[in-house]
Amino acid sequence: MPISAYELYRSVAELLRAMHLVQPSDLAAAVNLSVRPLEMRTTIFLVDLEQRTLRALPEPGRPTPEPLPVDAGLWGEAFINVRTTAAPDREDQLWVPIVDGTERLGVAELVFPGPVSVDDPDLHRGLSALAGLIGHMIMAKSAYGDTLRAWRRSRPMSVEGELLWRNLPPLTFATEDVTIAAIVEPTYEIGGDAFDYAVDNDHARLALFDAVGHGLTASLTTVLTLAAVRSARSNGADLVSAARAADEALTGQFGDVRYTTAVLADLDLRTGLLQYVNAGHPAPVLIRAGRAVAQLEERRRMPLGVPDDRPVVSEYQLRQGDRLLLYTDGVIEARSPDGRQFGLDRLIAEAERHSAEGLLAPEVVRRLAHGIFDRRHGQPQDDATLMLVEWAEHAGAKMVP
Amino acid sequence: MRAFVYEDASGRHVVKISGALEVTTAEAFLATVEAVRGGSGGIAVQVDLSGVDFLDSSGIRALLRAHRAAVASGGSLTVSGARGLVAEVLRITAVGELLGMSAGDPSGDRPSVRDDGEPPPE
Repeated sequence: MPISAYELYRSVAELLRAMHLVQPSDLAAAVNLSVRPLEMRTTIFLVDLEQRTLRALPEPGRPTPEPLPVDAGLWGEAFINVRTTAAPDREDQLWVPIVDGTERLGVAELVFPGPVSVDDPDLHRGLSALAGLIGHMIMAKSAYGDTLRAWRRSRPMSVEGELLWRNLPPLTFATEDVTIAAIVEPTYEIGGDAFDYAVDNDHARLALFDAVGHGLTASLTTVLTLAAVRSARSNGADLVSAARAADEALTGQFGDVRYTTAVLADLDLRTGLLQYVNAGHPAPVLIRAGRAVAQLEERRRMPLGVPDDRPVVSEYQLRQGDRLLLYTDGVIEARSPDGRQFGLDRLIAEAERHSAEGLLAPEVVRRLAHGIFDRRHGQPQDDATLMLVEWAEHAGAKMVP
Repeated sequence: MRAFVYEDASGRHVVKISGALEVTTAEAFLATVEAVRGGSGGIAVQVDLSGVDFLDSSGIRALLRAHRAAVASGGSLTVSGARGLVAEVLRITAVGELLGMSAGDPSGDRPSVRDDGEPPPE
């Protein structure tokens, strides 16, 4: 007898009720308890921060499956495309993407007591609710313990990495009008780079940061800059005032010149009008219909932390479907062992190639970052951060499972 | 990094450096500029970057620190001769502007953007 959406909704309601008192390390067990009446088994795989491997959440009394590579298998397809997948030879098994909003967190392997069809709309509705709740739970419970966060790390996190990651927003956000996807490298030693965004009242406030130097000092400079800009923003400051707030915070705290290059931008999601302040940062690239049509470098002010009172705001009118690529210099200065640079032209070409393949924005930046990392052959180099923003009607629709 | 210090015909103090201005050479550069200023105020220092082939964010920071110290003592610090990627880094960070690098200084290899015949923004 097939499982109905109604039966799954009952499990979801049970899980919601149980969730209040679940400690993070018991999340997987709580999910399985809620679906036991349906004789289902779930295994939740979380993607690691570098987005290369899916790692099963351990559950008491069950052997923990081996980690799975993202770039292979049905689980990888489910993660990459945010689509449920099924093996032709396993009628009782589905791989379901786990997202929070549109942030890709991993996949769940679901095993049913009998055959199921990936095309059953009733089952799909029920599973969407279950998988959606699991995604929300992972994000919500991560704040209360170390287990879930630690499980997404394939290596120990450095102090500077810990400081920075705790201050970053999720890698992906989408609405009907906009998608934002970002990535930072190197995952566990990231220091001076950061990205930020906040979407409210039909405005997307975007920012990319790159602090001078390396290691913990750079990381401290970056998080101070982030905090100053966010504090100003949430108090209603415009872009110029937010930049000045960062100047004040940095000069007030550091007596020896610590600066952060940055782009602070405000995209009006109704009109597509982009306003931006470039504080000594590489110019964002505007990609239209698969071609880089502009580098946004009208005017610049000094890096944040080098006081500059000129109100240097620039504007650019986006068209529907336009994409904005923001990056730090570590992206285009990534060198292979023979000393060749990755280069901006190459970056744009690869972004376009991945987009033409129909990949989702978070997948495009994931592949770009891996391309840069692999080219470095593990050599420690400058931090590299990418943010891809698409302004288009129904931009986020394809990212919903 | 190597530094060569002289006074030019107009009596300006010139610090000509060559090699890389980056994290490992920043302190030596600052010490050189400090020695030229010799604790006296109102000194105009020009940093000749024509022999510099590498400048990173720590090098930029060293220039900013030297500039701030010079201005604080009533003097000035400017740069000249930047070329290639060094000029490009000074342009992108906008710090070249602060240090009196003229817009006419040759810039480095600018990334190309294909032109689709549209009017420039704004």
